[in-house]
Amino acid sequence: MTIALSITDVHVTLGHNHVLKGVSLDVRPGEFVTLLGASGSGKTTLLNVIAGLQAVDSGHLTFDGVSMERTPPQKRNVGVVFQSYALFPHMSVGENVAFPLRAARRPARERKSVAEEMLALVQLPGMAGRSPASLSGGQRQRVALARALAANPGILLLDEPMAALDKQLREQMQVEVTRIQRKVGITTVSVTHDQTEALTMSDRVAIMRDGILVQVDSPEDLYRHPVDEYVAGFLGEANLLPTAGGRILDDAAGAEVDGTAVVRPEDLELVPSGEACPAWHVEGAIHLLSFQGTRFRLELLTDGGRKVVCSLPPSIDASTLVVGERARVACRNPERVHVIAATPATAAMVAA
Amino acid sequence: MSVPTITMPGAPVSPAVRKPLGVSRAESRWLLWPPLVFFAVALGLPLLMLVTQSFEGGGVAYGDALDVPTFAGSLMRTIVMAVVVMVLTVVLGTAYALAIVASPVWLRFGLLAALILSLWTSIMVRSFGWMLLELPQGALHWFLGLFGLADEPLELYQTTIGMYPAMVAVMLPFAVLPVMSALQSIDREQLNAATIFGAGPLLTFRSVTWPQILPSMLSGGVLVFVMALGFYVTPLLLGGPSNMTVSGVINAQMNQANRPDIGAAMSILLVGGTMIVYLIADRLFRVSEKWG
Repeated sequence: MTIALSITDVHVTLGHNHVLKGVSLDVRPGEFVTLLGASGSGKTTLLNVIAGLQAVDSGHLTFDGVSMERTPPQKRNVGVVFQSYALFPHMSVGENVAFPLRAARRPARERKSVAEEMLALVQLPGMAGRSPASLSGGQRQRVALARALAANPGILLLDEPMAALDKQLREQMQVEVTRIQRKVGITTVSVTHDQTEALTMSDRVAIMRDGILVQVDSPEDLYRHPVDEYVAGFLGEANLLPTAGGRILDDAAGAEVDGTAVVRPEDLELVPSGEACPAWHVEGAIHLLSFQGTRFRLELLTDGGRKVVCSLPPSIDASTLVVGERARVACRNPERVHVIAATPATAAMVAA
Repeated sequence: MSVPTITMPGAPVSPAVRKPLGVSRAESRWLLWPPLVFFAVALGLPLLMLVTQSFEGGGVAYGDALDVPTFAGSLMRTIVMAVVVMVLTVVLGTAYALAIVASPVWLRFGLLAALILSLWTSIMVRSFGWMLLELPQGALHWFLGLFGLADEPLELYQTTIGMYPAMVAVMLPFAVLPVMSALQSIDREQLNAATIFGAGPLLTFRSVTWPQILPSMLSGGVLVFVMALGFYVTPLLLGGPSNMTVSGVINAQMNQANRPDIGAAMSILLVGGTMIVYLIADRLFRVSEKWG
């Protein structure tokens, strides 16, 4: 029984700190939405609001249209995977997983069978008798996930689920958690500051900054059409260059700038000096060239002192790229250039 | 050899090659000597004298000690008393620690201050305080009188019932502090997790809090028990002659019966017994770990 989550204009103040400043978010049943933001942006507070661990000053929270503001956390039927996993250290793995059923006073036989079923779901069959301390980090996370899903909750909340894992395990668990989430089909809200994790796992990503949701979109739309410079810079590498009339303006002084062009490094390519140049191009001195396996990363320094990053395929002949020499890079497909209109603060908010 | 020089074990002879302080562990080892010497003089020496004194008659004193009729009785009484004090102190101390942790900041400060102040005050002073409370016409009598409840003088002073509250009060900090630190080190997220997964306050306490403070309760209890075995001042002042502890009997042998060798033998038996109890408890409950 998965639910639709709706948050409307939620405000939260902690002490003198206005943490959430009017957050609205709708999550469809079965959807995976990630709250992505720097630390202090309010994303964990928003998660706590959904879980019921944080009261709201104003605003509405509904599960399937039923208001939840007055419902205590025990009665909300949410499953949470905590950042530290918060497994109970003196209980066995099976007792941990069955804890939500124990709290609901389910008979022991049901608890045992559900625990086994859940452990099978997270691919830890037969581990019910082990103690949490004897498990690896990845296994503990699976147990935490099994416990979160044991009582068949309407919504699953993940608080920085990968933060305690090392990089290799993290990628593996991202795939694994997504697989289980899809299989169970449960509405899921996750919190992270890791953009790769957000892009990999989510149906939609909500970018959070200073207590406000800046943009909520699919990973691809966020990457291709960021509403402002913050989002553009937050997700992946981006060249943010002043633009006027469909071309890049390196020397912006005195000119009529009508927006900021967002050009991704992988959309730029080298233009040999003899050739004609497409409209979206920029010229500069080679500042840095590094080989990174799947690409050459070329850094140009324009005359206006801007840094332009460009990804070149590893197959190119790098011998012509000498530091200090001049080079031109261009984007041949104008659709790949996203222009954020000028007066970004107000215009971008309206567009969102 | 005109100027006396102080040389420390292992210290470099020439000041020129001397390294900065704290460079190597071996060089700082001399810092251990002052406390070791202090302990040898303040603890080892009296104990050694006590042992020699107890063996003055060639071990006869030990036999005599066990034959002193009041000794066996007081020993039993002391052990029973220590057990009762331990149980009461642990129960009250755990409640006190829970109250500290659950209180709002201002109240927490008050509760902690009361605890620490009582720890800093001498046992003698605190026992006298309880005496003033419990005297037949004492503070408690006056207080009850305010409500018209005290027609006759109180029969509390120098009774067994009157003795326990004072002893529990004296021992309370030793039970509260370890439980409090255990409570504070419980992961907040575990309490949140219990709440999220539907547990009420009772199940949360039973399944999360209790198992994590139990070891500290046991170690606090052992400490209180061991310390209560040596109780002297408080039972003497508040329990009266009928509640004489082993320490009281030893005092009588030393100062009244004029048999210091028997007193010494009893002391050795008490210290030795206490140490055995502590070592066994330490093995079982890891008491010393809880006290860092």
